[in-house]
Amino acid sequence: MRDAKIKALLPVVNKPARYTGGELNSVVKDSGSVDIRYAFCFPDTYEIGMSHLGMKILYSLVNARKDAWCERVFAPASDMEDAMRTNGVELFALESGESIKSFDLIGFTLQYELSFSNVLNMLDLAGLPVRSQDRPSLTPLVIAGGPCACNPEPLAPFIDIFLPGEGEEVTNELIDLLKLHKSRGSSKLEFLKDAVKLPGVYVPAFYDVEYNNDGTIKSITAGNGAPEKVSKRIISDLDTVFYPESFVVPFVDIVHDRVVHEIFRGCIRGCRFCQAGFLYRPIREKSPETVSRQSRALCGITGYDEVSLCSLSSSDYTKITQLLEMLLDWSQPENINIALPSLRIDNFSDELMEKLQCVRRSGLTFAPESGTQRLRDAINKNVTEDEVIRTSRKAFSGGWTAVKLYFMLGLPTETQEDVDGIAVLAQRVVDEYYANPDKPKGKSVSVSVSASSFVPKPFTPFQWEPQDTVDMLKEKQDRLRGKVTTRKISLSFHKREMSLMEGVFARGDRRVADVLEFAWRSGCKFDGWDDCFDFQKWSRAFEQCGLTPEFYANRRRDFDEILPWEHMDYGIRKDFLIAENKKAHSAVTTPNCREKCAGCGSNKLNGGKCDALSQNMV
Amino acid sequence: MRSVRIWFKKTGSAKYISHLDLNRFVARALRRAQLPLWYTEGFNPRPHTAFSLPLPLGVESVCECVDIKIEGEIDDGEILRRISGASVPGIEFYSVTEPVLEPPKIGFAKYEFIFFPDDGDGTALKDSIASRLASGSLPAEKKTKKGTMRQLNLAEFISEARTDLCDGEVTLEAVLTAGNENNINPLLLARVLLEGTSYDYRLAKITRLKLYDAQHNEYR
Repeated sequence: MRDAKIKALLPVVNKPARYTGGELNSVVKDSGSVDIRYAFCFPDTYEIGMSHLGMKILYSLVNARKDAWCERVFAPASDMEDAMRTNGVELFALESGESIKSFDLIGFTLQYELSFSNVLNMLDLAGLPVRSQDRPSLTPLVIAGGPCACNPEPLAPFIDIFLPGEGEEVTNELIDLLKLHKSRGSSKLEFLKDAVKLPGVYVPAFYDVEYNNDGTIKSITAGNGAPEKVSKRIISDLDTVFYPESFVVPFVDIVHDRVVHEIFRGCIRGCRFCQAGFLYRPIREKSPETVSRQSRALCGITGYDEVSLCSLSSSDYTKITQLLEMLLDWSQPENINIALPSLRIDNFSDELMEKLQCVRRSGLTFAPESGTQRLRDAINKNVTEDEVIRTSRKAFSGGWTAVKLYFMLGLPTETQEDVDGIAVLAQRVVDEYYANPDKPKGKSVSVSVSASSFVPKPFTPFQWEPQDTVDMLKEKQDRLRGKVTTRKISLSFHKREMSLMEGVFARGDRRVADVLEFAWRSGCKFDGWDDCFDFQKWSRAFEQCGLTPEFYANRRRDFDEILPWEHMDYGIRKDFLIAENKKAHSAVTTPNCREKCAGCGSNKLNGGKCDALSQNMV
Repeated sequence: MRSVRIWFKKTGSAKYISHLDLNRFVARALRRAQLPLWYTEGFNPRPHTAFSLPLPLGVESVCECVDIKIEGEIDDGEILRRISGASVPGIEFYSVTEPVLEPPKIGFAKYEFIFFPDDGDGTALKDSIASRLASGSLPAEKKTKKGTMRQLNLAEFISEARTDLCDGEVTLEAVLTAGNENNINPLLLARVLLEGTSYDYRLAKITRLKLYDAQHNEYR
């Protein structure tokens, strides 16, 4: 089975258990008895990829079929990659130890823009040409999905098929179709022409993009029977949708090493900077009964002692208290912890606080996002300073001594006053700790302020906005550093050049693909890692390709400019996004979806249904 | 509440599971096995586990053991049956006993080393290893618990050693001091024995065969 060549590498690399496979609940099948072999690739390290819920879902979903075998593939760390290249070992799947070159499907999940160079590197490491046109045979077919597939253009020449939206249904449809065409001996073109008839299948090669002299897009034209606009796929009912009965339990310590359970998709909040809040609409909740039952079964089969509830804003789950009651009912006697991240500040009720006393006490994280009320209104983060302070007070009297505050620098309309406001707010939280009469004796408070750089993303009201330049961000970071006067507040920032590259790929067009390939060929990979990111190489790649990062990141677009993702349909109406953008510039807020439907249009993909609406009516 | 000692083998690619990772693996296997465990009393109650002697990453073993605490009625055969059902290939639970000696009593461990000479003729390698062992001088550097380097002569910590040649493979069976004091990592011995040869010590197959107390009685 496992190649002796791979075995010889393991004793000489770091953390070899990342490459051995054989973890509990990993699925090994007889390769001779399946029709489709699927390599699910996560373009980052094992520790990151194994924490990803989407992979767990699709891995189990494909392996539930008798005719297909899904295996896991991660980007090897540099020491392993070097050893593999030196010894002629191709990128292999963990379950079989076999090169993925001969697989039928190679699927990448695109979770963040700075993993794009790893996609190219992994294809190359598998011994495959990176460009789709240089892979003429039907298989392996290279597909990609995940949030970054909403603007797939920077990866267009490399990927055969993108699957925008939720993958639970379309993955099976695509496997069925590929199986059929494989048995017929179809050509790649014949298969792709048939595949675009499936809803939510985007074949970039079937679209022709023309440019104006100023570099903006003139037109995007569909051919070969492909639809003019590709709609993302969504799952209508979360209670009946496939959910894994088991998780692969890794040996090595991964980032999120616990049972993870998604309690709802979408978000009612409409924060204007937040791409996830728009991409995953409309709201669909899973019932507390289903969450509790599935979580308990997963704990039994994995042996995990922690369940983490995941969503974009867990306290907006309508039955949160009921769910916690149900979970604690069995988790406490079994010594299992319940973790509840993504809590909002404003609806942190006393009842919820009381339940939280019983769940594991980790750090408490708030995301005020900006330092002043005016800017919070502009970005529609409907949280007031009083709410931040009141919740901090509750948390401190509940025994917490550490608080994390998340902010962004470079938001549209931001002024110096807004930057200073971050330091002021953090200081008020520190003061609140010392005003608490019950504070633990001799214990200091720790307020960690993380100020990331705002990157405008597609399908948000800020998709037309210029991103702050590297110099502007440096000035703001320096200014904020100067305003913090106590060591009780720690500050952390994002690497500015990384944010620039993130912005380029978030809103880039097809021409950026050349930059990506050039940069990767000159050694760029793991760009999301501080110790690997090499901005000089990226700058040189832009020069070579006759493009500038500023054109993509720092330029304001007109509302009528054709955007690179114009042919992708995520349900959200463009005029809604324009209206939201205008409201941002006059600092006017929009009520959350439960208070009043803002008419974003996303429910049209779900037959007009949205759980935020139906809950209003009862 | 009673203590039980669970014995297991750690072979094949399971040798790449580090000691810390093994800790987590066993804790989860115990939960999956649904054993009536005794939990520590603290804010985060956890089952009690104590490993007798950590195994270095990359070394296999046929004599590992972990002590756990059981609260409730269950016989040893049932414990073994349940924990075996909760394991993975490479980690094979094979016996459940009552602990006789406490882990600090461990004084020695026996290891088997198998070296694979590339040229298929192991005579030269075997002779070289045997003569180094016979010389009585095997200088090595070992990191102390304080983080400083300590110079030592490994020969003083080997109480028994036998080299052999079989089908081109050079084997060595050696008893090394082990436990809290003067624990010798078999990988360190492999490195010193192969220094100056063309063989990579990391590719040697090393297996822990037995544990002993300070009087060379079998650890039970």
